Amino acid sequence: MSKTDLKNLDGHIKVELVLPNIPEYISLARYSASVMANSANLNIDEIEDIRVALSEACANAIQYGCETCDYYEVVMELQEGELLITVTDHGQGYDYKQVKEPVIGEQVGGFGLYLIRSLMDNLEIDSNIGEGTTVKIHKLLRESNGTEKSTK
Amino acid sequence: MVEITNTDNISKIVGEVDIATAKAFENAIMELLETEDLIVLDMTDMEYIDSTGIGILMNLKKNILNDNQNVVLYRPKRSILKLFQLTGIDQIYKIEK
Repeated sequence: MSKTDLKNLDGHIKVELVLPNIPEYISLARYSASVMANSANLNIDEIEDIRVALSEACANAIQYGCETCDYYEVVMELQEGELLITVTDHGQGYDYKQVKEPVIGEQVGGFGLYLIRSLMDNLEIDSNIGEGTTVKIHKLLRESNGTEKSTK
Repeated sequence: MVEITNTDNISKIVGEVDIATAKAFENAIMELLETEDLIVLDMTDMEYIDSTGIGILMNLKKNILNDNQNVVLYRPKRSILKLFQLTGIDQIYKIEK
């Protein structure tokens, strides 16, 4: 299928990955995100940003979410106007409101969520103690003139 | 996956530095610092670095390097330079573009 021939999918492409709680497999998610972003005609800089944001979300799932689970899920959806990436773990959950913005130039860690927020258009976090965490990353698709574009 | 080769005072990093490979990245730097005061991290072929790798660079500067030791970041690609700017790495290291 060509980059723009999405008629049979009504402009909606969905990719679902179930990844083991093993750091080496994050590169698989990064590669999938590259393919998806490329199919949306995003430029190289935008694709790199998406790779970083997705990797940070996966790393958080492994480091902070999956102490009590073996797998986590990544869903990437190309839909009208945006690329939506959802990373879900079914681990112990955490109080994300306690996560503070890093002090740039001072802290040696804690940059993950900050980088996602900095590089993407929107970040949503839903975490419940004992149930797990869902992170939604939104990247708006824009025309080269800055207006939002459709995948149709 | 990452491949790191130490030669003299230069550590050449090829591939991706993330939570899977960050320990190798840190070990290579620490190995050079045992014998060299000025080390160069050649990032020409480094494809990617995540917040774990950035945290190692931060910790190196804040807690490990002494007054006589220096680290130069050599030719990081544009997307990596952007992350260095966002996290303040560019303020604490000399970056050769």
